Amino acid sequence: MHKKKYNPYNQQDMSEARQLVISKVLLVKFKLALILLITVSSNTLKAATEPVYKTGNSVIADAQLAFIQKISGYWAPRFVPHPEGEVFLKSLPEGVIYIDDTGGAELEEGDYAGLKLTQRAIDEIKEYDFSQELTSEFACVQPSAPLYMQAPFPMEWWADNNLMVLKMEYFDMYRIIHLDGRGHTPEDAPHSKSGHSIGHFVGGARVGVELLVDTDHLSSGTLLNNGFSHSNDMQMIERFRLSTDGRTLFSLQIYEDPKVFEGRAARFIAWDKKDDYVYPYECDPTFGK
Amino acid sequence: MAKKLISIVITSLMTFPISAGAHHSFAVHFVGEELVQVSGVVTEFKFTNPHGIVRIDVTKPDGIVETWEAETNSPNALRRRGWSKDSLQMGDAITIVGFPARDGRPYLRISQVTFADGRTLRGQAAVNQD
Repeated sequence: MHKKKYNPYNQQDMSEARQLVISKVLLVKFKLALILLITVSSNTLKAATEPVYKTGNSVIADAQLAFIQKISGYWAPRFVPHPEGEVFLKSLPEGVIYIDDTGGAELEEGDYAGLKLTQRAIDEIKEYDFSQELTSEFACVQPSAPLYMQAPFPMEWWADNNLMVLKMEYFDMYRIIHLDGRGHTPEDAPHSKSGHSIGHFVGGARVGVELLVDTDHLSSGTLLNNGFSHSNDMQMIERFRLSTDGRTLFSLQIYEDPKVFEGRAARFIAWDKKDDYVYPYECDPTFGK
Repeated sequence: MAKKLISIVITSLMTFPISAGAHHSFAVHFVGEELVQVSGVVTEFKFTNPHGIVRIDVTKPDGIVETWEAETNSPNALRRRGWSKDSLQMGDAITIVGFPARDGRPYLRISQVTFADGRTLRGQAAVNQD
């Protein structure tokens, strides 16, 4: 390419040459700024979005993978408050009735934790005979997930990216939680004491990870061990969180069952990670009369 | 060891929460604010879920023998506290402190078992532990 020669004694030539130099310098500066901007943006973006891993239909971020790894193992019910658990409990939405009978405490006969029961539940209570609870027919009736998840018994939790299995000591119950993005089973699919559970993660490393589990297809079972049962339409949403050190697991269990009570109700429970195993329960009905 | 019914209401001052963990409600079937003590001889011990059962013959002051039943917490919880299916043997002289049945039957939820030699087994926890 032909380059123009400037006469250093020609004022117009020199003015043109200066402008050319200035524009080249500006161009270099612009390029440098652009490179800097791209580098900074790239790093910022990298920090903001964690790497994700796709397995099946699920997308799992780093912190969520860590949650899955930490949650696997043996958990024993915790009977003393944990500061992070107290904070988590306060995240319960207003208007949700808190049932304070988890783990140890139990409600006296006639105490329904402030639930506004439907006529169906009130009628069931009127007919309920507590003495039947000491019979052999009743002794080994399995509880449903809303009750056994708050019982003061340990559990083993085994998980990978797509599936979680909970082995409960209480009544040898099992739960499966699908994480692969599937929906619930069709309406006419069978109900069971453990129901059908699907889960997904929310949050990440900076805000904390929460596992949300939605359970339906539950078959009727006692809710408060106090004379009435939840219906087959019960829906349970559980929010699981780990403590910062990963040694305590918290759960907020939120129930909705318009056939039995108005609005929503919730329980809170915590477990500590320990080195032990779930023992067989092997319920023996001959305990009853 | 005197095989007589002591049946003492030890206290109404217990304010700690009572543990669930049974297939039936503890709060409905037992008085959580009272403890009763009975002494007698073991005639049967079953250590299976949902509750273990101890049957003891208690000789009352008038000489009449009355059979008491005492249920344990879930044996799973008790195994972790040192209990086993062999913890109690037929003929053992024991004293049971426990929560009385609401309906007045000779029936308890065990809080503690004490053997003649002073050994003890812990049952229903004072705090929510099973």
